[in-house]
Amino acid sequence: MTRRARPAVFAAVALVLASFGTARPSAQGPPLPQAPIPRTPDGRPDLNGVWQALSTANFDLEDHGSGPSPVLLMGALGATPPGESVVDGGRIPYRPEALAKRNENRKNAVPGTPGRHLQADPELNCFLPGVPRATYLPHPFQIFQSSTVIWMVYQYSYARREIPLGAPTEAPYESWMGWSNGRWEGDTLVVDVTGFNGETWFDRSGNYHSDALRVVERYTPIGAYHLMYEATIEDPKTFTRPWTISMPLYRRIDRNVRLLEFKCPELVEELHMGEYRKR
Amino acid sequence: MTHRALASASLAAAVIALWPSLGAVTAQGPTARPFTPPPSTYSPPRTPWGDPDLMGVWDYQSLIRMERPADLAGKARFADEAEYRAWAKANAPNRDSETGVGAYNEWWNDRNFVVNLNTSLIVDPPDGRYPALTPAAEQRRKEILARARELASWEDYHALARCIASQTPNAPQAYNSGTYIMQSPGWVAIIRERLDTRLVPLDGRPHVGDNIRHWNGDAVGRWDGNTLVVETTNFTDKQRLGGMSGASVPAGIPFGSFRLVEHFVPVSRDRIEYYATVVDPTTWTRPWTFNLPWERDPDYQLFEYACHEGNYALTNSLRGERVQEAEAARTREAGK
Repeated sequence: MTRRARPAVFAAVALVLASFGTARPSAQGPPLPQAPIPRTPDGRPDLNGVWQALSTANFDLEDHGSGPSPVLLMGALGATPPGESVVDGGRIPYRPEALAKRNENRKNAVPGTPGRHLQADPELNCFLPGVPRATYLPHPFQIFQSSTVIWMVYQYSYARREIPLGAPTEAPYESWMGWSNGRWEGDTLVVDVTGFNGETWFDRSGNYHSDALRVVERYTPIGAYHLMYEATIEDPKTFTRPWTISMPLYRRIDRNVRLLEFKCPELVEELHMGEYRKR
Repeated sequence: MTHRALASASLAAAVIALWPSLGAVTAQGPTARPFTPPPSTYSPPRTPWGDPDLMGVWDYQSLIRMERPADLAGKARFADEAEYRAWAKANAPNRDSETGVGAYNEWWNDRNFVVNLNTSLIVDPPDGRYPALTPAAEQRRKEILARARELASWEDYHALARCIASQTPNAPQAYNSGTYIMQSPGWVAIIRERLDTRLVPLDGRPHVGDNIRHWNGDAVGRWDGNTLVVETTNFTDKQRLGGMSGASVPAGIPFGSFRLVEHFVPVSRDRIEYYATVVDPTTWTRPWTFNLPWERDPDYQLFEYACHEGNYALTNSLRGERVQEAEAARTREAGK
């Protein structure tokens, strides 16, 4: 055990000792354990730090058993790990025609041939992940917090978000990561995100949305080392009603933890342009 | 995806057409002292946890070039702002006459130049010119340039044309150079509108191990009074066409495994004197430093720079090269 890991043990002890609070974020479910949370000098929860999801949501938001690699030669290295749904109620409420498109996406997610295939999973092409997918990619992200603005910087590609906490502003343009307006509701950071283009997916299984997407995220600390993350997704072109995902985020306390470069545009150059390399 | 991002990918073609020569280099002694920036008496406001507070958007458009122009040789500084402004008026760029693939007319260019009384960005060596390359680096530069003309693959393009990085350190660039400084206890984030976010820990930790190499290197920092000092190592040696983006950087300089020391010296509420010292004895015969003034720009809104997502120009450029090669081969064949 490293010195850095010890505070986590103390936190776990504190978690057991603390009386269970009743502050469940907005979704229904059993109350979550509560432990003391660090605060900034202005009294807000202190979200500064490096965070990461541990779910398999990036493979599929819904229930999924283990599955084979989409690339035969990758064997078990490329296999899908199993996971239970992070969607409240289990299933995403697609419109019928949208469900058909999702299933089509699923078939096209990994084309298996070189080139820049736009029908593939955008992650395969190293495109910006959008929201909420940025949160549960298999990469950490770092939060920087002041009393007026929050920045979230993701390890994946050059993804990041500026989240002003002042008066909300209209999205001035369509973008991959959307236009974020943040506010505090008690100890919950609420981020309202609009202005998305229709290009991103929610996972590797073809779950998707249109450019009518609106995401309302809720980050609620339940202790020094855990945030409860919820995202409510509205998109009347694609879904019959709003729906919500939730999962914990874990504070990374590894020794000297820091984001490293994952500049994936470089990692897909051979895939996208290999046929034009001089022979 | 902006028009600008789309066109940035075709920048490589323009760069290749306009190789700037390294220019005359004055011989310099090999034993230069480590660079120390001039001190400032300005004391910035504090963050709630007591660090100097530099948060907000800054920009560093510059009319002053990396190297001192020949007609200003021997004159390190303008006498006053009036003399700078007179010179600036006479030397303001206008690219509206440019035509052809890769041309950037004035529509592209932010012209919000920060006043700078220095006549070159390079302040050390004191003649305002790059020091000489080592013979090995000069050889490598020639090889890089020869390969780049061939455009055999994406690796022969600048990292910016590949949407990988605008690279470190940042020299002035024509547009989208707005940079957000964000701070948290123990950290400074340097968030550039173009692609890169540099995260600088201030807790005295060591650099990452030798096997981890980054396009923007691995930064660690500390406060020296009110000055933020950042040391960056672990750069990849895959940089091409000059390690820095932006104007007036000689093409083909083989930036590789160098050490970068940056000093961010706040001199007023709205101005940081930024100094970047490049230490790389395998490439340069002595360390050198440039000084770029940063100015606060509260009206500047950083937008998403989704560069790779729409980067068709790089593919099309390579494809064009291969088509031309095939046509040339057919012509040769027909002439036999």
